[in-house]
Amino acid sequence: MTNRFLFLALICLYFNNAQAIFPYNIFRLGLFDQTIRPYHENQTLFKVSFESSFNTTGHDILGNHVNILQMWQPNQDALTMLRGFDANSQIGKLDSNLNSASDDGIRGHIVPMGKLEAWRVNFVLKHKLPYHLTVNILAPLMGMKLKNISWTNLTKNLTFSDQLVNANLMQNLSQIVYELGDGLQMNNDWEKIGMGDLEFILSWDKSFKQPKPILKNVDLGIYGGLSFPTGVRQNEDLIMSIPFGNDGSLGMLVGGNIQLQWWKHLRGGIIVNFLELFGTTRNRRVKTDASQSDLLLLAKTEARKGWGLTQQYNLYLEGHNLFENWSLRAAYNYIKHNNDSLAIFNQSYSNEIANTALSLQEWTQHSMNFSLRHYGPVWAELYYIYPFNGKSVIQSAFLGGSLGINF
Amino acid sequence: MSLRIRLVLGLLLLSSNLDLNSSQTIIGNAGSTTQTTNFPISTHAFDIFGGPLEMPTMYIGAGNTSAQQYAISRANPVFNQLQPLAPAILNFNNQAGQANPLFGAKIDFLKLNGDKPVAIINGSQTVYKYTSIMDAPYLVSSNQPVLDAAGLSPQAILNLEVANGGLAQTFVACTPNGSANFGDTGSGIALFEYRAGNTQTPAVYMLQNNNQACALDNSTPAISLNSDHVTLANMVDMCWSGELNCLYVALQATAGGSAGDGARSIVVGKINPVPGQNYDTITFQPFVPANAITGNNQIIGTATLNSTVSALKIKTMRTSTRINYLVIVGGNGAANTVGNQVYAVPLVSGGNIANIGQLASINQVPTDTFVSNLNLFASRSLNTPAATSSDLLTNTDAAAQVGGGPLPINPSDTISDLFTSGDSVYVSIGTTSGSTTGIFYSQAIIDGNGLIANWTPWQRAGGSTVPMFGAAVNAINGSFWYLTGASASNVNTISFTQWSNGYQDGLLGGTTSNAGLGLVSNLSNLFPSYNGGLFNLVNVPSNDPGLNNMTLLLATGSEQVALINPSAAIAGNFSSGLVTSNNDHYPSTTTNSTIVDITGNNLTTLGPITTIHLATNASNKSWLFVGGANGVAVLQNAGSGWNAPISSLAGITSAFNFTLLGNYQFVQKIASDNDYLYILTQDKLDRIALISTNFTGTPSITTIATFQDLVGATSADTFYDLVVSGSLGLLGTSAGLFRVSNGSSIQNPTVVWSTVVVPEQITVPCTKLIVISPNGLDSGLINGGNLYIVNSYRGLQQTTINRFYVSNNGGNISINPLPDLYVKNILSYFINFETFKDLFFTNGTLLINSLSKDTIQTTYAYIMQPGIASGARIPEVKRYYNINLNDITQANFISNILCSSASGALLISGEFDIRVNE
Repeated sequence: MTNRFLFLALICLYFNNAQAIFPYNIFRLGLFDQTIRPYHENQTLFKVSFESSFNTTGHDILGNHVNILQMWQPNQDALTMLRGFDANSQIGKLDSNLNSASDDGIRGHIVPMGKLEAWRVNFVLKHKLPYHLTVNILAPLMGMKLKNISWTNLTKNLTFSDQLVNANLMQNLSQIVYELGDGLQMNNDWEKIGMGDLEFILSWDKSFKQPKPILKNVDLGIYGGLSFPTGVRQNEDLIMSIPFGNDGSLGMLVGGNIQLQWWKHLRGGIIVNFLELFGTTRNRRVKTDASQSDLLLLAKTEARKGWGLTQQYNLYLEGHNLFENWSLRAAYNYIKHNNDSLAIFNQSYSNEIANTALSLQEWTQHSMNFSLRHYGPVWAELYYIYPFNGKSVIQSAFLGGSLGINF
Repeated sequence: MSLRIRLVLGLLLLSSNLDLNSSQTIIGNAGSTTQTTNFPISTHAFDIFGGPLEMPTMYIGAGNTSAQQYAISRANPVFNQLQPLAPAILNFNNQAGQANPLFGAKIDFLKLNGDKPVAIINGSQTVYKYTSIMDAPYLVSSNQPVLDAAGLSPQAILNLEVANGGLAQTFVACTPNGSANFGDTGSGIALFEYRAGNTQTPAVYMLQNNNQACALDNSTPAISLNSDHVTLANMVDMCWSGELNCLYVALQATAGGSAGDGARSIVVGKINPVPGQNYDTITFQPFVPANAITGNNQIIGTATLNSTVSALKIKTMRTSTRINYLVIVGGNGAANTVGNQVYAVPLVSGGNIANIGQLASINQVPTDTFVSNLNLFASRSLNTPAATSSDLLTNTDAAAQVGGGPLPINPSDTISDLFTSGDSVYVSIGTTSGSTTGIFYSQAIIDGNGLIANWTPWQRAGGSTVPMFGAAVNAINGSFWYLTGASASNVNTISFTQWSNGYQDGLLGGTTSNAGLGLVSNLSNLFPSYNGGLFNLVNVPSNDPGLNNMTLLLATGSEQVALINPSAAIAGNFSSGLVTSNNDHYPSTTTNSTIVDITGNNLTTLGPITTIHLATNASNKSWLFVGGANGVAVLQNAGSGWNAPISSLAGITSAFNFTLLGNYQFVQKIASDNDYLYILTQDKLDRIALISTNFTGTPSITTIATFQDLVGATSADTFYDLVVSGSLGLLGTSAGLFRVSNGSSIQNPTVVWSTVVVPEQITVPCTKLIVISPNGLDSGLINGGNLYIVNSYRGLQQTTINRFYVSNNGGNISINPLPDLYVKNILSYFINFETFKDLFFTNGTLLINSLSKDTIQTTYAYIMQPGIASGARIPEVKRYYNINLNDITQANFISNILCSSASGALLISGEFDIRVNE
């Protein structure tokens, strides 16, 4: 029966290409890290961590370093922004007013720039239960700021169409986008602070001592739980608005780890996490023409978002208890998020077109994590996250620290 | 390697090496790149379908006995070579290795059964038919020679015609035995039929009608009116209509001198089996009942004693509204008096099968047929034959007069070839008593019932003015084929036009030794692509009121304008006549000036110049107006225009200069008619009187249209295009098509506008208005013209084409949609592209659409598949030929597609400047 359930669960995970989190490496799975347990005979660990971003950059679909507002497209297209609407609509009339100017790759294109800053505080509670079970609760608090948003118009002034587009569209683009885009604010910096999504996880873990010369111990763990949509959600009217969590979706987390200990001080392991989110329906910005770029979407309509599966793999090597309960860990972390999908509740728009948005496509991120930890009645950690690759993702370096107490 | 494989490889070779040469001379056995054959070409036939490879091909017959294996050959457009089809040895009459009777023969007549030649050798009366033209041709001969109506050997063979299809019905016009006069008893049309063989039965090519020609002579009742004899001349043309399944025979018939005598120049032949026999015969029927012929002006008949009615050449055509016509060179008069007249008369194509092929009554509305139970449009026909005199067109009816009147040659001249394609009729002219040679065409103008109402004036086609002794159009890719030479008896060169930059073609592409002297190169220098290239190129035909015996091309670009007189260039040299000015002034010119290029501060103010118009008022004063993103300028001298018409670029003096006019922005179109100039911007239409005081100081401007004047329009709407014709104005806007209401006039102080209902207008913005008018100008629209409108909206990737017929009935101007439909009783668009298009062009044969570069779509110009007609289904609409020139595909935009009146060359302008088909 159990096997059948697991099998069905895996099938479900495999076939449900739903989603997950925003492509920013401030969002990671398994922040409660079940390899960390209350110290010795203590039943409970409570820790608080803080991390702050720096060197934030975007990676485009080819993995190139770009400004964060260019991670989906190097520039945004104000001409194709007007497509996909009825000719008699206000937007259609504006397109007509531009003599249906063609998009030659430069005309109507604008390069966005912006700077993102973020910090995060995690409150983690771990409490041992019988039968090698542990309950884990994660409550994050976050702050983000997108500032210095600027747009550079690439349109030439050579042809009739160039001048028409400049005069009737580009010179007043922000206002046009706001009025025709149902309040889309392309020039407005934003800043927000709020809760992320709460996670409740039940984990099971057990150590298996090994009577071998080198391999001394094997730790196994599995876990599962739920992520609750308590986080600040995406504001569809702001450019690159980042939700603090799973954007209103209930999530199901499952995972496991295996940790091997060699000799006395060397540990290594792998942690695997999967996040499956349940789709949500609300007003979202959608593409109305396949050639549109993702930041300038005028259509806002009720749409159900189905999320792709998020997978995280963490490989680590740890020098354990090197000195007075201090350990050093180096980890490679990889996250892959499968394609998201939209189902639109509006026959004026096309699902097929809406789902061509690059922001709905798969993204990946790679990073190295380095941490210095102290295990003991008092838990302490300093860590540094160094992102080094990714696709369609924002990556920051993070420097953070944790302080906790076992009781 | 099989021929087919070689052809395919050749196609690939061609497509990979579409270097920018222009008209190509087929390389033959003359050892020359400028001459095809070392023997005269006597006859030709063009395969418009091009066989299985859809590669239209010209076939020729040799005019003497020196051609050897080239006696019959074909011009292969893939290899640009003449391919001999008459080897010394071939499979003849089902036996391999036989001597080929066509080898080295002089060919008198050549026609095609599909892509297989049928020929008659000079001095022979045997008919030869190819059954295969692959690597080793197969040939059969007729089982009998041509025999006259008495079964005897005829004295002369006058013509040959062959039907497509498996039976390859072959018709040979012959005089009787012992007489050289067609019409004498025994004259007739011999009928042969081919039956393919199999392993048991050899193929046969048999004379029908009991081994006799089917009698057609002076006493044939279908020719005379009163059962009396007519006198036929030795002039017979024939045309088989596969669609109507009948043979048209064109005659020159002279009526007798007795009361009631008359004659008809066309008879209809229908093939029927002879009861009880195993052969067929031709039954000749009257084309029109005798009692319908009155007077001497009904084109195909005369009821005047001793008068002659001539049909010198005939062809059938089917309009884009699916109505069949017979096109006739000739008319009421002897051959040497009607050689420059071309008429079109309607044909019965439905209803009672006995009437099919006859002259149709003009007093009927075509009958549409629909797929049973589905109400889907299937076909359209005229079902009622002409029965009375009033049912016939006369030679003064606009509907009948192809070209709106005679060709620009003398009546005694003869045209060398007649062919039809789509809605257009083409003639080629070789040797004449004057100097006019080349290809001319006229496009049918179709009324609201789908019938031809008018014709455009004769215009040049083909891009060359050399003598042409035969021609054809490849409607798939827009190229023209022509046969030329020193004289009709020394035709030795086969050429075809193609899309290119005209490199050293002696035409627009420079001299034959220096492409840099050509118009293409000069425009490229004057309007370099880094400045955007050509933003517009406009043709002004010679019948524009501002011109006399010349044509103009007007080019615009960034802060720059050029006037081009293509006819002033000698042998393709445009450079020697290039004059420039950089101070807004018209430069000093001579009658030899070819290009006048003007820049200056005022033109700089305009920025990108996209519209240009030559306006001439009723006092014969002309001005040139240009408009662009930042205003309008006028070429004037102290406000005054120059004296019109001009016959060269020297007609304007250097005193004229461009000055700014009014305060405009984003000018969409400038037009004029009569004494008024019209300036259309995105949000208003202004009218300015064409008087000098308006162009010296502050002009007196009357705004005659804003969105407030258009019902249903709002301030968010945009004006795109304008046509002015007499009192009528038509506005294409983002809110649809609007017109000046009946009872109002565009010249009134206050103009009243109303909506034009566009059938099945799935795309509302009406972005382009295209006029096909009897005088070739926008101004002629109200005199019975067609209006094509392009409804396009990029936002939803939509473009449709709707067509209208505009007519003026005593000041009441009606704009009626053409009967394009898909479902019974629901008028619709002509074409739905189901995608966005920028431009559309038609000359009646070619339907060209284009798109400028947009996101990932590169720039293209497509020629739609030939034969698009009312009710065309989407798969037909989506078949096209891509004018696949690198310059075009890599450019950012195409600005216009047009035909130069000077030579008939097709031009495409854009960032790459121009590319030509000549």
